[in-house]
Amino acid sequence: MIHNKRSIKNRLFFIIVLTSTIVLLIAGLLFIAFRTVQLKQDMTSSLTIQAGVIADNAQAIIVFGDKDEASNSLASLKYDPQVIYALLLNDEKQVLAHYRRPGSNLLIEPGTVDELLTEHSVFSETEHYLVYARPIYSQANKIGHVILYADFSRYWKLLTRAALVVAIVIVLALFVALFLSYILQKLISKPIESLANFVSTVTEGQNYELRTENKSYVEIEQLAAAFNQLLEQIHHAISARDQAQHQLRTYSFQLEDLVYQRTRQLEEAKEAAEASSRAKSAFLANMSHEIRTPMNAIVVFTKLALNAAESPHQQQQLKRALESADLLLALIDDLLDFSRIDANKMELDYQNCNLFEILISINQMLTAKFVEKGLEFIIDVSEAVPRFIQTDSLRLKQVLINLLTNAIKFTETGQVRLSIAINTSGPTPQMTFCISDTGIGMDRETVARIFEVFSQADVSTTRKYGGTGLGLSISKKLVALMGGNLSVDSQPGQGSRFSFSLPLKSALPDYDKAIISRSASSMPAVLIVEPRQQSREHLLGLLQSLGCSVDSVETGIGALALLAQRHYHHLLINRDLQDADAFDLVRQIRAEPQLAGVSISLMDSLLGEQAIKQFSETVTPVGYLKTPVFDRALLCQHLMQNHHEAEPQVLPQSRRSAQTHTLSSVLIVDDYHINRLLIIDILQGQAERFLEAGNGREALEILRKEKVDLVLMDIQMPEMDGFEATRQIRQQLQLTALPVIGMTAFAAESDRRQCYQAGMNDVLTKPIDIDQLKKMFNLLSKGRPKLAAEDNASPPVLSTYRLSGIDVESGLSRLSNDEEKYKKLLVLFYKSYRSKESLLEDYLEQKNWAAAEAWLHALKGVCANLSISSVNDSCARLYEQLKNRSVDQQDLQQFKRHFTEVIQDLQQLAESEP
Amino acid sequence: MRMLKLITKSVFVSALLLSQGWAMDQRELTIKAAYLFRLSLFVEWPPSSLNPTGSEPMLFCVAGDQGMHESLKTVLADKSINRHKVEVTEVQLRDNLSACHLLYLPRHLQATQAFLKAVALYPVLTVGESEAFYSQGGMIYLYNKDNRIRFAINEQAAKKAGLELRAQLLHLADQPPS
Repeated sequence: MIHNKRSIKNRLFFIIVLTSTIVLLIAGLLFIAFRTVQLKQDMTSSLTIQAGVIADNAQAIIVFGDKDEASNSLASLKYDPQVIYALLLNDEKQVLAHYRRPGSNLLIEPGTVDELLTEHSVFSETEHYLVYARPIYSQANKIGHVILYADFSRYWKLLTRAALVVAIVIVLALFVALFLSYILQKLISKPIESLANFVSTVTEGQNYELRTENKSYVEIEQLAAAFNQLLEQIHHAISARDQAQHQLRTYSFQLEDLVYQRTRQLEEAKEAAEASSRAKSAFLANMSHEIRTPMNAIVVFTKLALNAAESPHQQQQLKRALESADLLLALIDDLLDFSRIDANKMELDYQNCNLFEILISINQMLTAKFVEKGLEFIIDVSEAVPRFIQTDSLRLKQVLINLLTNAIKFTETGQVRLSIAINTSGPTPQMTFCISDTGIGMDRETVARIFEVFSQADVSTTRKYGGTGLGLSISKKLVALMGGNLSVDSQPGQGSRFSFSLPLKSALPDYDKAIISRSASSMPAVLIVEPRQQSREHLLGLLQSLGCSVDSVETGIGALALLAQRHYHHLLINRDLQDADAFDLVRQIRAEPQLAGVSISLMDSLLGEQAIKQFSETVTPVGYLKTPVFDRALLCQHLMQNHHEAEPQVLPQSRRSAQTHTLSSVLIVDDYHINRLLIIDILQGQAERFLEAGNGREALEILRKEKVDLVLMDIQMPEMDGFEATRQIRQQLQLTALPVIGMTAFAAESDRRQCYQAGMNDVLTKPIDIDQLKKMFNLLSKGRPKLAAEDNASPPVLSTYRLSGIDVESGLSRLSNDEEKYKKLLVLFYKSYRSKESLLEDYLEQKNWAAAEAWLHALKGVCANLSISSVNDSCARLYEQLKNRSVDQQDLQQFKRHFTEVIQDLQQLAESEP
Repeated sequence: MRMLKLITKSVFVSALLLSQGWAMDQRELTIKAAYLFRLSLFVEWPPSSLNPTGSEPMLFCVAGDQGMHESLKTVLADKSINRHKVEVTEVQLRDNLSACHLLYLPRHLQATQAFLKAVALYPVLTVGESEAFYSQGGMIYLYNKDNRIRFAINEQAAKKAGLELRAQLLHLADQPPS
C-alpha cells in the first residue's frame, strides 16, 4: 500500500492501478482458461476427423487385411504433430497396422487397448496422451477399429505460450495503466492543489480580501465556495478587530497620559515624604545632642550635690533624683537608638574586636547587679569561638547587656548563663549567643509580645522591675541589622532563653590554641572547691578541656579530705564557701607542710579583688581568678605560672597610677555655658586658670591671644564646630603641641576617628565621666598626651626620653600616632646625620654654596617631617641667608647647637633600639 | 510287424493328407465365402435391385457347388449388408437368376459362360474363379496367389450390368494372372 501521507493523488493513482491490475488478471485468467478448453477441443476434433478419414478410407483395406495398404493409410498421420501413435485393427482385434511418430517413446500398456474397442467412438486420456478409438463400419458391419494416440506435450506448450503472452500483455497493459493514471489523477488533484495554494497565499500574505474562482468539479467548487464565505467572515472580523485596536490605542494613550500625571504626583509626594523623613532624622540627631546636654548637666550636678550632701536624707533624695535621671538618659538613648534603627539611620561599625574584652567589659558593668541579687553568672565560651571577631562591639555589648540585664531583673534565684558557640552546619559559619536564666519565665502571650515596643509583660511588671520597655525591641532590631534573629524560648516558672546567631567574621588569628596545646601535656592536677553546682561543673569542663586532671568538691571539708588522699598542683577555691571561710581554709592548707607545693587561687567577682589581693600580700600568696571564668588561654597561663611567686594574676592589666600636676590654663569650648561651668567645677583645683569659648571661632580668637595648656572642645557648636576649630588650631595657628580633648555625644568608633582626624588628641563621650576626665587630665599633665588606649596597647616608650627640640606630639600625629614608626624614623635620622654636625661649616668654608644649599634643603625637609622643630627653624633661617651667599655666624652656631643637641638626644633613643 | 507299421503309417499319412486336403479345401471355401461377403460390402446395386433404405434380403446364388453353398450359408449365417440380410441359395441355369444379387460360379463349373450370358443384362455381381470366367466377362475373378486369395476386377463388365464398384475395392484389386 502506497500511503505516503495519504494524498489524494496517490490514492487515485493507486486505485486506478489496482483496478487495472485486477481486471487484467481476471481477463488473462479467463483467456487462459478459455484457451485451455479450446486447445483440448482442437485436439479432440483433430483426432476425430483424422480417425474418421482413416476409417472411411481404410474400410476395404481392413476388410481384406492388406497390411501394407493399412500402413499407408496411417501414414498421413505424420502431418499431425500431435499424433504420436495409431493402431488399425480388424474385427478380430488384430493389429493390421500401427503408426509411431518418430521420436516418440510412448508405451502402451497391454490391455488398455481392449478397453477402447467398443461399439462407439471413445476418448480416453492419461496425463501424457489422449486416446481416441473409433470403430470402423462398412455397410453397418463393424469391420475393425482405428485408435489414435495424441501427445499432450504440444498442448502444454501451446498453453504455456498463451500464458506467457497473457502475462506480457498484462504487464504492458499495467505500465500503460500506470502512465495513464498518473496523468489522469492530475485531473482530480490539480483543482484541489490549486485550492490549497490559494489558501496558502491568503494565509501567508494575510490578505483576506482574495477570493477564489475554482471551476472544476462540483465537490471542489463547493469547497471553494465555502472558503470564500469563510474569508468573507475573516475579513469582517479583522476589520472589526482593527477598529477595536485603534480604539484601544487611543484609550491607551489617554491612559498613559493619566499614568504619567499620577506618577508625577506620586513622585512629588514621595519626595515630600522623604524630605520630611530626612528632616525628622536630622531633627532626631540634633535633638539627641540638645537633650543630652541638659541631661548631662542634671546628672553631673546631681552627682556633685550627692558628693557634697551631708544628711542621709538629702543623699537619699539625690540618689533618687540620680536614678531617675539615669533612667531618663537610658530611655533617651533607647529612644534615639530605636528611631535611628527604624529610620534605617543606624550604621554598624564593624571593627576588629576582642570578644573576650567585650565579655570582660560586660562583666564589669553587671557584676554589681549579680552580686546584689545573689545570682550566679556563668559565661560559657566554647573552644571553637575565636578571640578576635569583626563586629560592632558597641552594639553587641548593648544587646548582650540588655539581655543580661533583663535576665538579672527577672530572676530571683539561681543563675544566668551566657553561652557562646560556633555553628558550622549552615552555609556560613555562625556565632550563636544564648542567654538563659532560671527566672520567672513568660507565658505564651508574653512571649508573643515580648519584642514589641513598650510591652513589658504588663504595666505592673514595669513598675515592679523598672526598665524602659524598649530594650528588647532595640536588641531585636540590632541583632537583625547584624544579620541574625533574636528569638526567645520561655515557660512560666522555668526561666527564659534568649538566643541569636550572627555570621561569624573572625578577625585576627589568636594564639589561644597554641598556648593551650603547648601546655596540654604538662597541665597540673587541679582541685576545684566550688559550692555552686553550675559554676563547678562549668569549671570542671573548662579545666578538663585544657588537659588537666580535675576533681571537684563543694565544701572546704571535702577539699581537705581529698587533699589528704591525692596530690594536686593547684587549688581553685571560691571565696564564698558555705561551710567555711575561704581565707581560713587557705590558712589551714598552708599550715600543712605536705601541701606546701600546692598553688592556691581564690575565685571571686571583681568586687572581691581587693580583699583577695590584700590577703595575698599580708597572709600568704594566693592567685586571683576573676569570676566568671571563661578564658581558657588565660586560665591555662594562670595555671602554668609558678604560683609560688606571690604575684597574683589580675585581669586586666592594671592602670598605672596617676600623678598629679597642675596646668596653668585650660580652655573650655562649649556652646552651652552650663556645661562649661560644669567642667570648670569638676576640674576645680586641677588648673590655675580656666578660659571659656562659646564656639570654635571664639576659641581660635582666645588661642591667638593667650597661651593655653589644654583645650576641652565640644564638637557640636554653632558658627564653627569642634572639628573645624581643631583643624584650624593645628593648621592655622600651628599649635600642634596643644592637647585638645574632644567632647562628643556620639560614642561610635567612627565619631572618635573623626575627632582624631581633625587633630584631637583624645575624645570623651558625654555625659562626661568625671573620673575619666580626671584621669585623662593627669596623663596629659605628665606632658605626654596620648590617645585613648586600644586593647592591649603597649605603653608609649617615647615619653620616657627627653627629646628637646623635637615636637614629638606633632611628629606622632603626622604618623597617625604610630610610635614605633616615629621612633624608627628618628633613629634613622640619627644614624644618617650622626657625624654631620660640621658638614655645613665645611661647605661654607669651601664656598661650596650649591652643596650647602642642597644639604640644608634636604635636612630642613626631614626635620619638618619629623617635627625636629628646633633644627627645622634654624634650617629655615640659614637657607634664606644662603640664598644671599652670606651666612650669619650667630645663626650658624645656633643651628649647630640645636643639631648637636638633637643628635645627642636621639643617641639615647637609638641605643635602646635593637 | 514292420509291415503293419508301414501300412498303418501310410494309411495314417494318407488320411492325414486327405483330411488336410479336405480341411484345406474346407478352409478355402470358408475364406472364399468370406470374400464374397467382403466384396459385397464394396458394391452398390442399383436401387431397383436393392433398395438402399429397405430391408429386403440380399440373395447370394451359388451355381452348382454344394460345398460353397454350405460354406456360404455357414459364413453368412447372420450377416447382413446394410440391413439386407444375406440369403444363400443354390441355383441352376434355368432358375430366375435376375433375382440374385451375387452369383458365384465355382472353378469347375462348366456352364460358366451360359451363366454369364443369362445374367448379363441384370445387375448381378458375378464372382468366379476361372480365367475363362474372367475372359468371358466375369466381374470379379478370385484366384489363389502366394497362398492368398486375390481378386481381379472387370470394372467394365460391372458397369455394364449397372453395378457400382467402390474405388477402394478397385484399388485393392490385382491384375489377373496372365
